[in-house]
Amino acid sequence: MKRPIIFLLLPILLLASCELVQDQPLQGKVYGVFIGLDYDNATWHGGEGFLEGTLNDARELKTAFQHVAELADLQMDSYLMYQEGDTKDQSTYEMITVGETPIRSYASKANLVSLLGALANIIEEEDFLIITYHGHGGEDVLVMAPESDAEDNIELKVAEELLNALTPVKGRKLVILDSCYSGMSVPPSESSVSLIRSPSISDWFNTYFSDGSYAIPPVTLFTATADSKAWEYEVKVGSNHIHGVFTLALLEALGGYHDDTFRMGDTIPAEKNGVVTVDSLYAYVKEHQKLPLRTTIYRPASRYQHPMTNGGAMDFILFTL
Amino acid sequence: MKKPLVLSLLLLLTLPIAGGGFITTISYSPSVYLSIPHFEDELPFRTSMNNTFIFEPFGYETEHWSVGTSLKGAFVTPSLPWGNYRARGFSSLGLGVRFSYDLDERFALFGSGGMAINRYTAIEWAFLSFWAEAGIEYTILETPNTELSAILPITVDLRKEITALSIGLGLRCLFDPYGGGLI
Repeated sequence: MKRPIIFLLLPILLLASCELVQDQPLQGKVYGVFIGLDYDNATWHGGEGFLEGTLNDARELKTAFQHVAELADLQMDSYLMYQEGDTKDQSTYEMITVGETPIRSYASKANLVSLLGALANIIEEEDFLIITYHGHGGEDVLVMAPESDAEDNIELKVAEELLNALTPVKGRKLVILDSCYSGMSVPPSESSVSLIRSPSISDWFNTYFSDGSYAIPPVTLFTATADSKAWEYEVKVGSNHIHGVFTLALLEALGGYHDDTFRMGDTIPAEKNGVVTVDSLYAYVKEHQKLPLRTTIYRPASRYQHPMTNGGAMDFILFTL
Repeated sequence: MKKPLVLSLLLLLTLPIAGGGFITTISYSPSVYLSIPHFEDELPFRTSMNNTFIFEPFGYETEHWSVGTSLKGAFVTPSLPWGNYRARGFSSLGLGVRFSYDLDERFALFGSGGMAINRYTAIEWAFLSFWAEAGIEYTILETPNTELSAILPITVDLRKEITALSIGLGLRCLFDPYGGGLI
């Protein structure tokens, strides 16, 4: 009896060591683009008006990701693109240089496309790009800053324009969207069904037996809401320091906290077994965000939001600590 | 397609009541879960741990063989972190049918198959899968109404984007719920 057991266990031991015997792939640089808009200068307000927390979101998330990249011994280049106040005069915004290309940090659609084009020239296969957006949104749409009073082309379509602009960018890509209805940009998976989108039994079978095949998404999306509005929240009552509900939880997941100002702690709460992944951030946000995930007949809520990310078999490792 | 399935299930349910030999079993087997991707990945396969619990409420046993319907629960951990990605962990609930054939007083061969619904542990996405399993069973302890066996199951998990091979070592407890004695 012993011999067959040994013969059966031997291949297990050999096979199981795949991750342990192979050298880790080279980790490159991290690039971050953090976009925040308050819409104070926009004629378009989407019926919602001025946003108070979006610039805090972008600035503090930039600090948080830089801190985690440092802990992971990775070099990070970060760019803040923003729109703040009531001016449309771009000359009041500083220039940022990507490679050798100077780009205005004003968060207009044209400037963002230029920035992504410049990043495509310098990002290598082993690098990692994070883009975060904090502003108004609609169904698969982000609302960028206008370049003039006459400009009405301020909507950036996520699937058609943003993801297309990212196609020439090599390396791994993560897009974090904290805006209303942002989860509607997350494409359906070829291999799994979203439980947030209430699949029918036939959806399960159709997905399994469909011809489409799964591939690791070229751009991973991580969004504030599945298909509802995204809300802002005051960090402490009376503090007048506002954040997006999603981003506030995300900052905490990355080790950030607020006392008199924003600071980074020594631990990364979203770290699980030495890695920070999209799933570990998602799980943290889901558990710790200040609003309920959904409204139900038993727990009705006028304000709720449910984070969303791509389905499928693979989780994206952001940092190994 | 549906009729033979319904008839088989009815037969499985009615046989124990009609002829005795009714058995109930529970089993647990931890195993290594190797995910072989159908898509482009950094590794030829990813390694996770799998804990499988099987409850067979309705089983029927004769002198040499047994058959039963099984309810399977499994918990697969995320794979070991390597490179830029890792395989997501998930939990699984499945229904299946199990057969076994006694080679002698101690050894038996078994096979099972079925379908499962699976939910990723961290995110709210789910998927369907089918499994087939084969293995050896060795009876360690035997009383008139119970049996304890060691099992060595090899499972193939057929997912849309992954074929997973699971090899483990576990325990299986068999009861005679009516106290008539095991055959």
